[in-house]
Amino acid sequence: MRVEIILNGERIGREADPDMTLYDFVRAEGCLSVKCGCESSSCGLCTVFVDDVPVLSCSMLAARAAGHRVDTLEGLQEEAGAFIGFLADRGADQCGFCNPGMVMNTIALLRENPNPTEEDVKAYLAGNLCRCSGYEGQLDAIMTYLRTRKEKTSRLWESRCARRTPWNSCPARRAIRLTLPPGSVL
Amino acid sequence: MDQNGKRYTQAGQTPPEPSPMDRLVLDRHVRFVGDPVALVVGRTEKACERALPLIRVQYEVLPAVLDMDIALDNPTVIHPEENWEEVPGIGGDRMRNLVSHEESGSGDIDAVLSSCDVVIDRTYRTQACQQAMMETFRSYAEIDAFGRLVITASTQIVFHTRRIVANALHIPEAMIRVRKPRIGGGFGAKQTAVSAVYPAFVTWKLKKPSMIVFSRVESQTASSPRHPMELHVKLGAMKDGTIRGIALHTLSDTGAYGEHGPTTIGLSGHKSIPLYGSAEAFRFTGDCVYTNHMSSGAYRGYGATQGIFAVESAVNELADTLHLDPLAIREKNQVREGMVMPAYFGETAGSCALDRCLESVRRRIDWDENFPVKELGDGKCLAYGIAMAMQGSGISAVDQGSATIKLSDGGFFNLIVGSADMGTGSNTTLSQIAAEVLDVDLARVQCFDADTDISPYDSGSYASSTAYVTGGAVEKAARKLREKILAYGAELLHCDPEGMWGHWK
Repeated sequence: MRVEIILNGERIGREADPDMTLYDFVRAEGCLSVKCGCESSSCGLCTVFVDDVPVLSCSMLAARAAGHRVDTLEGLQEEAGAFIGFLADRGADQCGFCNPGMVMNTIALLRENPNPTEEDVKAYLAGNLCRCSGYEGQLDAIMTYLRTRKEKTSRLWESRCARRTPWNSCPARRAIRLTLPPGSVL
Repeated sequence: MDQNGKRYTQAGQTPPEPSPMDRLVLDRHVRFVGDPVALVVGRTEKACERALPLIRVQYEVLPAVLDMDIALDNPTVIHPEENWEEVPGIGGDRMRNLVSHEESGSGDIDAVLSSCDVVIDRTYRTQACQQAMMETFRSYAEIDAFGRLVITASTQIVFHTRRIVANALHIPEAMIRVRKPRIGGGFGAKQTAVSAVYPAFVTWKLKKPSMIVFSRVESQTASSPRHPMELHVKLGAMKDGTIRGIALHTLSDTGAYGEHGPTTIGLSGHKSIPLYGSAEAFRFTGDCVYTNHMSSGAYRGYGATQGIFAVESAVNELADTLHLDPLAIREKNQVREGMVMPAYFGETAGSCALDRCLESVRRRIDWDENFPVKELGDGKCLAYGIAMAMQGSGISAVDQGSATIKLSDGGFFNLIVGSADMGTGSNTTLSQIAAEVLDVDLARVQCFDADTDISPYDSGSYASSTAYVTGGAVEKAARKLREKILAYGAELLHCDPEGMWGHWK
């Protein structure tokens, strides 16, 4: 049967046996970042997005994804780029085999909750196994990334306000005004 | 498939391997659930899956030995075959299911123990554990343009694998090339050639590329887990906490094939007893037996883990019995730098910072304040305990590492080694060593590992050897290259090589 999916933004179609998994499909299309560590949906290595939702591609038939958008790390380089440098800095990555799945779920986490606590991160990434590390490096990297991003943002606000922009044309005020119902007084 | 052909071992160890030659590629006598019965080769995985139910196997079921306690001298002999071989000196007797036997000692342990105020006599059992690296076992093989067998494997041991495949297939080593790409972890599991022999055989016979990828279930059931051991410790001490004698007997379950059995059992005693420099006498005996379990293999710690668990547990029980602080007991009895270690082959502890380690631990976790238990409130508490361990960087006088460094016309260096980075970062470490000696940015050193045709010989990455042994070779090679470059530079610049170093950059 012919299965067509939108893989990393491109419409891809190929002949697939009915029992072909999405994992085998995306790898056959060259998305080799997607790894397999088990056959029991236990390890998280094969994580891809189907319509922006993380799924375990080893346990999903390619046919089920027909007509849907599927994203792998190959198509999310920019979004991943924001924080993977922190992973490298912390030496969090060792063999790297679990890395793509973990990065995919981290992207999903940050989209869903841009400001997670440590507990939030641990809960969200609980399904991504790593045998080389004790998970501390990855956690540390993500929290450092969030902290750094926060500092950058607040420095940006500070630098704008420091220029003594008249209150009416202050971008912060304008932004806040836009979120309030019309007619609100600020 | 000649049942009377020369047997081989799958263990990755420097030859002559202290492992029995007890395997055939396919044996008519299968010894554990997971032992290969047949090789099914197909163009696709589906074709193989369709073929499997078409094969009927007739088994003559023999009584199984599933308990290491009854393995020795059991009527069921796991390796009755006459073409079983073992290096002399490791005390094996296959008709007794005994793979190896060792005895070592110093002083009169029985006299010392009988004159001690207290003797702790305990038996501990440890279980098999899976390394469970995220990337399962897999290899593929192909015939190259020159008719040679080229194997690409997820392995820690390219050179040992080459020899193992040559021994298994009865073909010359020179016809085989083994390479290792980026791999997803090992932890010792891949210090045994678990998968390589099968595609090697298939490709050699059919002259077509072939591959095998173990599933997770297969990696858990037909692999090389930690040896289960039964450890009987007798620890003799005086009331003031002075440890005077340690006796240990280890029984190790090496499973269906010997592999790393004789060597891991050795570490259970030789890397636990020497921790106590105060001991006047020791005895270590070990029996490594066959059972019908999965063949055990290498896993970080390699026998020392099991032995240390037993001895350190016994010392903690001693501390409890004598109402002494377990950290204090260790500080009193620990091995110190410069001491001779009778239980470690009579070697001297030339480098030992154990005392500083213990002191640092005492300070950092506020041991004096907190031992044995710190109440955290809310019904929770934090319990404190301690154990010591020892490890060497490589196997003394056995492990070997080499390095080749080339300065290319592009102004960067190729560092070629035979060790195996499996996520350990050894390629980075080795590059850093070279970069520091050559005084260049890390980016200018390109590290390549490992290919038996290209890399200089290396025993492989295990026993904590790579950073120290291969690293030592890298440093030597880098220094030699530096001297050569300076000599050329001096010629070109018409000056004395002495004092060139300052102009290097």
